[in-house]
Amino acid sequence: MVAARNPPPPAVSGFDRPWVRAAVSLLLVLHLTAVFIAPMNVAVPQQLGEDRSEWPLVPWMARMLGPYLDAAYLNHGYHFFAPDPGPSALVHYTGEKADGTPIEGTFPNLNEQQPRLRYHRHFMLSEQRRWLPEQIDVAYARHLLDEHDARWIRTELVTHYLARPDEVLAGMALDDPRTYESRPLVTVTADGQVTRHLQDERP
Amino acid sequence: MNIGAAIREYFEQVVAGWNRFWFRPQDPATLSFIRICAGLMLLYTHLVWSLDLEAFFGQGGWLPREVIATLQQSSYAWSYFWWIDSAWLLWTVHIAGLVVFAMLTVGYHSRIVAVLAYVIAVSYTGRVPGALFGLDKINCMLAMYLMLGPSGAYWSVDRLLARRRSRAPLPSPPPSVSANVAIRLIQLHMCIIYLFSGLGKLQGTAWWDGTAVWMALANLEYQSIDMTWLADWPKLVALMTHATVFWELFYVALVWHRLWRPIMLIGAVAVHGGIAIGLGMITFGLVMLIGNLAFIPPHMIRAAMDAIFARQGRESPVLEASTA
Repeated sequence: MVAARNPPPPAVSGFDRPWVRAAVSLLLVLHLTAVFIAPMNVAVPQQLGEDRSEWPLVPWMARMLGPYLDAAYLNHGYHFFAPDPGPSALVHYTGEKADGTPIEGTFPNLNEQQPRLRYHRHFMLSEQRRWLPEQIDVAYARHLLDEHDARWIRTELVTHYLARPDEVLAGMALDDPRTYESRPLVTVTADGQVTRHLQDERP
Repeated sequence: MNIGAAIREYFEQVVAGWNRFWFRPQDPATLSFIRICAGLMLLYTHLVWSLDLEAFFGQGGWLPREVIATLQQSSYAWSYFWWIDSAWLLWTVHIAGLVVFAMLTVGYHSRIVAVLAYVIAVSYTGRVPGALFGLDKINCMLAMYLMLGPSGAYWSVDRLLARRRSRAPLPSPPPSVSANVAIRLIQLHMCIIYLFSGLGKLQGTAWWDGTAVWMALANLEYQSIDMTWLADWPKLVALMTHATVFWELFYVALVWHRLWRPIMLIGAVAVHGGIAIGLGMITFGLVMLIGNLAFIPPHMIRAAMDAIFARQGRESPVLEASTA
């Protein structure tokens, strides 16, 4: 059945020519250098002062390779769960429909957003909010306003801190109210008014 | 031997080693299997976008065009979604993308759709940067390298059509340098990912004091299985934390060693299986395991696929030569 498993000899290919190998090798080195430089350039606390221009090699290389890294979607730090896993960011909202019906919700919401990947997309909206431009808070609120056909929407940033092992052993649940902290973000109305409640704290 | 000859011999060995690493033809079985797995993941990932397509990609959605334009003003990120204004065109383009991913999965016009799949996958990421995570990075990475080699050589519609056209048994697909280059790039890219993931963890304190795995498992928004019983097992949590860091840091070296490779790949199954099952990121866990498939030799992939087809009472579509 699996008798003649030896594959046939490779066909003669362009890779046998030295200049092709040299050109491909150059491209491979450039590509892998770019892939390596992207996470190297992720900002870290500078022990030798904030001015990175004194240590220009990696930022310079990242700048040179930036167009390729951005266009090819390779410009990543790959710092999964690093430097430390931390608290979650959620967005809670309240509002009112045109007929006076109250609106309340949170994103992400595992009960509303299934399958899990769909939930995770909404989780990233709240988690990555702080890396997005300041206008994103208003954009989120306006989207909720449209989605609920509301008269007004008010959003809050909810930080969900992690319970320590000793707290869990003492009986604290992971969703204990003491682990949540809320700060108002924005209020938007259907007639276009926008009120910001939180000073921008983006890095 | 004088010093000049020794230096020359050293560089000749370096060049020979480089050529062996990159330009030795490889059976495209591993690349073909990665095509099936990555194609399925791309298809599923983008199918899920369908549930909120206009909410994420439409102008009145979560991520309006002008906000993302501000974010990307000094970036070369791009997306064809910037030219799409109407809902019907958005849906048309989206469905066309899903068709391309389905074609990649089954290996129909593989070389063309592999290029299209990469362009499409990157285009989605350029439009919704605030909704992305590790899954999208690995999806695009795999799609990029699938473009380079004959990913449709095995277990593909292309293969079945070629067999039908030839009206005779086909020989097994020939070993290919481009298949080897694609696999080598996936392997090296995975090594870079793990290296920097490990180095990034060294900047934190929780990965040093052994509490980081607790902090991940006690995060209610990630959690998919209640693992809080581990609060009573701090040394086990610390062991898992330290093992994760060391596994990530040393993957770059040990996965190339014949004896260590199985251990490092079992480690990948443990870490990513844990992420998939315990932290609710099934897609991310799976796509990282798909990347690790690059370290499985082609003969093992073929044997596994033969076993699957044999269990179904059918011949593997690549065995015509041997079974005719």
